[in-house]
Amino acid sequence: MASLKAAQQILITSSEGMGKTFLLNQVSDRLTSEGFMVCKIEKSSPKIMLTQMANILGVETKSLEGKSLTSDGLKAAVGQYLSVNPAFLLFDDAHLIQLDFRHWLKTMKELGVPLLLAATSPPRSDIFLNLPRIELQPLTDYAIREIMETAALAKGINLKPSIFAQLLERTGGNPMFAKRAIDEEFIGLTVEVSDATGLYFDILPFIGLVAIIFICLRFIGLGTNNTALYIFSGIGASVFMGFTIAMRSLPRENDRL
Amino acid sequence: MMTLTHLLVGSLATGIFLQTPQPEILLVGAIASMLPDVDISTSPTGRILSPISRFLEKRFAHRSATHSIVASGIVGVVSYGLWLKFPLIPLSFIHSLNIGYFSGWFLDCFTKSGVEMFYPLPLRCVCPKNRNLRFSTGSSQEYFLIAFLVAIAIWIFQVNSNGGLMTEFNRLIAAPSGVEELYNQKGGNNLIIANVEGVYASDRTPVKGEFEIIAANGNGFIVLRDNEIYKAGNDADANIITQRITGKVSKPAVVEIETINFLDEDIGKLSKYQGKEAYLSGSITVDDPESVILNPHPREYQAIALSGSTVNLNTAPIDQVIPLLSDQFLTGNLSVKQLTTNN
Repeated sequence: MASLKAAQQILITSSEGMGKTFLLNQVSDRLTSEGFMVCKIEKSSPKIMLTQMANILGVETKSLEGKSLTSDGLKAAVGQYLSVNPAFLLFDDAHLIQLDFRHWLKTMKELGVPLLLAATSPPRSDIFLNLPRIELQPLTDYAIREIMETAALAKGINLKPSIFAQLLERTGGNPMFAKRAIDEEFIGLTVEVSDATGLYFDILPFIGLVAIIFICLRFIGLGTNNTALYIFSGIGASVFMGFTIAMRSLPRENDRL
Repeated sequence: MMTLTHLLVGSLATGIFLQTPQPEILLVGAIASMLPDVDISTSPTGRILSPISRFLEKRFAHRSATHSIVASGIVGVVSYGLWLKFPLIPLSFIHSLNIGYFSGWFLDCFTKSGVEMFYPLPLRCVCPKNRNLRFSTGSSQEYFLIAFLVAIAIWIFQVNSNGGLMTEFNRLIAAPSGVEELYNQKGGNNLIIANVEGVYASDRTPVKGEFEIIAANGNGFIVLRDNEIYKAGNDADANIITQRITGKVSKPAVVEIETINFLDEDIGKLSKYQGKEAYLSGSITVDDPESVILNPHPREYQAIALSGSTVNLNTAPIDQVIPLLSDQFLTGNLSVKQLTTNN
């Protein structure tokens, strides 16, 4: 809140399900309760979004002749209003907003209109580069466990701490996956892996490193005239290198569900 | 992974790293490999150490804090620290505890959910990357893995019973460097027997058999068989040119080395070694070199050489030296290497 009020424009990024929408709703409620004008807009076509904004702000959406304003007309009318009246613009799923609308938001930024954008892995371009960025970090195990306990309570299931410890394995600090794990437990699904992005790290390079250590040993064997060490480390290096290559050549996982 | 898989991997890793077939050490490694699963009360370790597992499972995700490099570090610091303070058990047990613990959680990298190896970083370390190819606990793939591990464990046990992986490997490639390594490692406390295949340098007739190693010499060994001494190796002065040479550890033996000074004295000082397995090295001056008559066998190692009035001894058997120099007055230093075997 303080950052938004101070910096005026902020971009919130994270992977899917980390709580951007929840955060936006909380900010919207707080600002509204403090008496600020807030336009919280869901992703839609530019004209619909502009019409929503105009309706919230009380900007006329029709011309003097009674015709509905075009997108450009709405942009001009909303822009003119925002240049003199303070209001916070909150956009969820901003990465899905069309490019020309994002350019208009950039114009709004230059006018000093308070903006809060939430986007999942947005491109490194236009408005996303202009705004100060806050990246939502994975929640702690403690916080995730609390979310799961609440979700389990809402489902009416009583889970043992050992089950929570196992479910925590696949949340990756992500509240959405925490709730999903409870749902899966509720319907009795046996799930062992998570869909959380960036949770898994392949240790294959370390196994390759063992092969390199064996290669170094081979040189030591060569230098000390130790034939056994020379041949043994050669075999060791071949085994670990072969394992690394074999693992690399395994079929890749399908990105689709 | 199942308990059986953990037990097998723990004992196998201990066997490989410590090169020992001792069942009690392997057992410690096997049990230690189950310790990381203390973070959940439903695991066998968790059920035994119930208060600890109940404490941990309320605070950490399964396969996180206890399955990490940090946890291994803590186990290492505590176990080695306690051992340094109270060395009540052999150090190899502490080694096996640490190896077992590490292998226990590292094995879980190959499961579908992986482990938080770099805890507190929230990264689940896995191998391979494709989740469909990783192990599920109790799956048919795991039973295949168990069968494979059992085969490897039997082989490693057998290898360790024969002196360890490197010894077995040296035996396989039959290179002098392997025997040298074995002699350097075990020669201080055991007799080392060399199994030599080669030819006599003098007439190129084949030779094959077991010889007792007395000493290392150049890139070869001074060896003994039927009271005859040879130099085996590929040096220019070798009596037996080796094609294959392997070593094996024989009876326990004590090696004692003593330096004896002579100042125009008879050989009486050496009489205490007579009849024992002792070898002399060094140069000594005699008063009557004409009466020193050497009768070397062309096939054998020339352990005694005469140069003017100086007799040069190089790992010469005491029972050959005493009759040769019994009538002489000696001046100089000799070192005596005595091998005493415990039968």
